[in-house]
Amino acid sequence: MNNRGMTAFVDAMIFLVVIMIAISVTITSTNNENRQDAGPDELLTLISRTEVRLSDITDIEDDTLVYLPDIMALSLIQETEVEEYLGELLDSVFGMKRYFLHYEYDDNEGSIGTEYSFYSIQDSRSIPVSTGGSINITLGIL
Amino acid sequence: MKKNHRGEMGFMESMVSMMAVIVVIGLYLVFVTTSVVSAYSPLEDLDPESLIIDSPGGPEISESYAYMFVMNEGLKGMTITLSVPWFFEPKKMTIGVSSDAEYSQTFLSMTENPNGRMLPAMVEVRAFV
Repeated sequence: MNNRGMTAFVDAMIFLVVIMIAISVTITSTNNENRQDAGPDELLTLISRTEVRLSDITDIEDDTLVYLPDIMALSLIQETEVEEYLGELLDSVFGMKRYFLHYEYDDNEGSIGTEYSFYSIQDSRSIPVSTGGSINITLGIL
Repeated sequence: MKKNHRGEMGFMESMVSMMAVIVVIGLYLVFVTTSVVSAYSPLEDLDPESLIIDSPGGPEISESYAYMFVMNEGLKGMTITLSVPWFFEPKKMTIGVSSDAEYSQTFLSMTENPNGRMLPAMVEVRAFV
């Protein structure tokens, strides 16, 4: 191969690299245009805003409206049905996707799902509890 | 094709190179066009908040909004499933007919329920074009 042949070869390689970069940028930008289904961030926001009656998911005969994070904190020291409720909610939202919800209040902690070392999306939230302090909730999806 | 003493083809070489460049750029443009078309989803204009109405018996699917959306987007049909886990049985509504070309998306929304409960609801929408 002479000098001109070498120049043409390098020229062709540069052209191919430019086209490959352009394709990569196109794929990335079109993927971002797709609306994503619900993720941990959205679900944690909804959990923080959820209000139920105390009697809905506890054995306490009291129809007072309470925020779900309050009952999650309560469930760490007392038997409630909040784990079953959250499990049903997470199952219906993420379907076959595997998830892990971890929450801790004071020195107590609880979890729903199976813990893995890696999650494709993960989000955490610290939500104030009406009895004082905050409950830290982390939700990861495989 | 004749080559000169330096192994070059002159004008013909230039033409072949230009055609190769045109073919590659053409393929790239076809790829871009198909990507843009497949990225379009008629559900981008859907407002999940408007799709749910509060009623004394729990959240319901807004039939009027669903029909209006199908008409405005020119869809062949749409299937909507509304579920409020733990508290209500899932509700399903089908409008029009189904087809092979389908777009689906799941939305999360907060619903206000009887007795003041605020509950997360999930809306699964399948649009047929």
